[in-house]
Amino acid sequence: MLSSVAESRAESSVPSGGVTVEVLVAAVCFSLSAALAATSALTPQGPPSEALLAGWPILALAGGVVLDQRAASRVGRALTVLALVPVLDIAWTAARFGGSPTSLELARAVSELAAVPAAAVAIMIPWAFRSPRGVRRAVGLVVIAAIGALAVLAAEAGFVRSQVRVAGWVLLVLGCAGVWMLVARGARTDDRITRRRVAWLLVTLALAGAVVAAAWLVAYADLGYYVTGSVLVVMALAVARLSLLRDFRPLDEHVLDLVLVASALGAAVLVALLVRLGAALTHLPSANTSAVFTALVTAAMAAPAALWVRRTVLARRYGTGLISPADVAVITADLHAQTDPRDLLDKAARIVAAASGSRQARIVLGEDAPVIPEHWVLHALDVGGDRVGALLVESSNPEGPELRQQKIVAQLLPTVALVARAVGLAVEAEHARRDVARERDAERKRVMGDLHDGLGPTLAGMSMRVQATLRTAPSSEYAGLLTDLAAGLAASRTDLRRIVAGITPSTLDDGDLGSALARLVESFQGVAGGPRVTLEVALDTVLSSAVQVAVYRSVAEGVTNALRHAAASAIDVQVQARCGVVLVDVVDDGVGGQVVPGVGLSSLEQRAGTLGGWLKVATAEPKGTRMHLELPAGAEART
Amino acid sequence: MISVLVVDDHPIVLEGLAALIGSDPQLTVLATARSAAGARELAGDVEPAVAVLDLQLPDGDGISLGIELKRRWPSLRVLILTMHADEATVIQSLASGLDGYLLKDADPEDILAAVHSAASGSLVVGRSVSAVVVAAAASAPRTDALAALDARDLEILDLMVDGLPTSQVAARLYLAPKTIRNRVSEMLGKLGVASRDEAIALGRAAGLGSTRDRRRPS
Repeated sequence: MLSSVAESRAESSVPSGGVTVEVLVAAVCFSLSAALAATSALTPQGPPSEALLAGWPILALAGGVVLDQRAASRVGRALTVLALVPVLDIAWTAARFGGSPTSLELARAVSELAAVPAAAVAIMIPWAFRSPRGVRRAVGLVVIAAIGALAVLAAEAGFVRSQVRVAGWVLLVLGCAGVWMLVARGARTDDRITRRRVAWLLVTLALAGAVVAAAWLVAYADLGYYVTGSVLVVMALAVARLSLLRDFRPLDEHVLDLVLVASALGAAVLVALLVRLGAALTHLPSANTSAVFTALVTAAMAAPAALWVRRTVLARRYGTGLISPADVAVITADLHAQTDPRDLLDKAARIVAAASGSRQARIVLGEDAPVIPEHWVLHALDVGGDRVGALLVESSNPEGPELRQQKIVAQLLPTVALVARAVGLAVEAEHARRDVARERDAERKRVMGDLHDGLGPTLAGMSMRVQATLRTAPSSEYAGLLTDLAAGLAASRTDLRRIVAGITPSTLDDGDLGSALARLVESFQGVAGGPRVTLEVALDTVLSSAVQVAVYRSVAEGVTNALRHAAASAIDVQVQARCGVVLVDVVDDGVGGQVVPGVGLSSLEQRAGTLGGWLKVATAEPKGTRMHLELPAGAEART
Repeated sequence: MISVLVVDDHPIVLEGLAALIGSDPQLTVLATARSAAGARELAGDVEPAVAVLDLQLPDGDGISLGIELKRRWPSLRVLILTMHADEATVIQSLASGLDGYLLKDADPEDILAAVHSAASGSLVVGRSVSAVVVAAAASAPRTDALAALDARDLEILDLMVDGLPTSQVAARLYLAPKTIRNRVSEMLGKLGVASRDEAIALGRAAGLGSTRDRRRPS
């Protein structure tokens, strides 16, 4: 299973999916700095320094993305490490002032420590600059953002005039925006997973920013703090999950999850805002507490609904993963009409594709490994330790199947393997049957050839001698005997010709039943004093070669029987093929009566049976005998 | 008197034919031979008017013998008398300038009439020959060349004759291309040919391809 995933993954140019230590570290850094920022935002003593909320955690986010694409990237590591500045600040504050520091103490500690992040940035830049050219622009933007952050820090700490603060903020925002634009541009790789990962990060960030901005614009300051803190915690969780996933799939589930979480969050925020506005208008006490409580309750109530939506959507997209009785009915519906058991493989493959939500699937028989097209995944089919074939599945996604789809396919593999084995056996049996039939035909041809080449000339030579004797001595006492002999020999020659022609209708080799029958009937016409044989052929359906042979032989047998036994004056042969059915009638006006089937008739009856038809010999009206044969036009012989 | 040369390796036919021709007052059997070599050894001073030749002789075929004899005796009329009447042979013999073709199991009277007609310069084609009532054994079995193959091989060869590349043959048969390649190389060994193309030519000559397999319209 995993090996098959690896095979499909090998196709994509950028290796990703597994989580590297670097990304993990970036996630931890982000979570830590975001958690500290959130804690300080929720500090009861008052509003914290805005610098702490200004976006140090975002550096870790950017670092994580860069490291995800290029594990050893110095820029990524630098960005990640810079995210730890709040950790340092908080730790310094705690060490200096003890207990839970107030916002004022925090601001003082930050200003005291301002030199440390400045030094860190100064060290990181040359180190990071040794990276490939493509990311130099990113580093430049980070530097701009860092200078902005330092300016803001300096203004907060009172080192510079407060007007610098605005300029610092502008630099910070521009730098951050630039970095994110670069990240977004860098995500335009062929690897859909990376693209999705970055898009997911951007959407999360935008959503979080929108929620925070809305909270600060609409609500009062203290609710803004709560919302900012909550959003930072949620973002930390989201980024941690993103980074910790072993395999960033299924993609669609992530998008769905994101939409569901965002909807729940949005609903909670909306309800909280409405409650707070209502509480403010009616001058209720502790409006904020009510708002937070309502938000929590709304989110909790949205969870089961979100889960239900998730399950429904995924089941619709990937199927239930089970083969239902209806599916089995579809597989086996026209089993009896299948001319080739291999058609079953197509059906089984279609069901696998439908059950697993894959684009298509194909089954290949045999031990040899088939060629795997791009974006297809190979699953070996084994029965009892023997390789019976392979199942090839094309995922709807270019980077391969989702985990859920792989599970479904894995569940179906044993069943598919059994189907492949059964079909393989059926194909072998069919081959063996054809070989036997071919050998039988060859043997029959050989026997007929021997008969024709051995007996034929002898009869011909004897006929000539008898005729010669008759001609030289027409009035001898043996003339009567010789005449009888000549007639007998002539009849034997005709019989021989018919036997050979009837049993091995090579005239059918060119596939024209009508003219073959015409020649056959013509050969019967030549008998002096014999009955008149008429032929009527109406074929407007294509007949399989097995049916053609059966029709030809039954006509030969029917006419021969009529000639031999019926003493008829007329024999009518009718062959009609209409609407997929062939009807053959050989009717004579001879003596009729009970017909005891000989070898010829019995084998014809048997042959008709194997072709799915029947043959019957009955008394005709007003006199004579009627042989009737009915066959499906397209039947192939089955034994 | 029309002098007739009779060549046939089957003793009963030879005797019968000689007796039959001898029974006609206007015909006389000049010589009989049981092989092409025997016919060639005939003394230079005999000059038959009509030669009745068997198609299959132990040391050659009647058509080339007939051509050879006609070269020796330009006025000679040659009739092919045989058990076999497949269209190709009939056409070949007539195209080679021979004067007639009839089946041994024709009525003896017809054979005599044919000798007379040939002697008078007409082209003779036996009645059953003109109708080409061809018994199975009378024409060579068409799949002889492929007798060494089994049904599995034939299935593959059939699709190859249709011009499908290995990958598509594999797809039609639900097999891996590697399996097809292995089987094709085995098949070449069985057929004793060196290349795919030769195998395909053999298969096409044996009537494989296109119309045979309507099972799977592409």
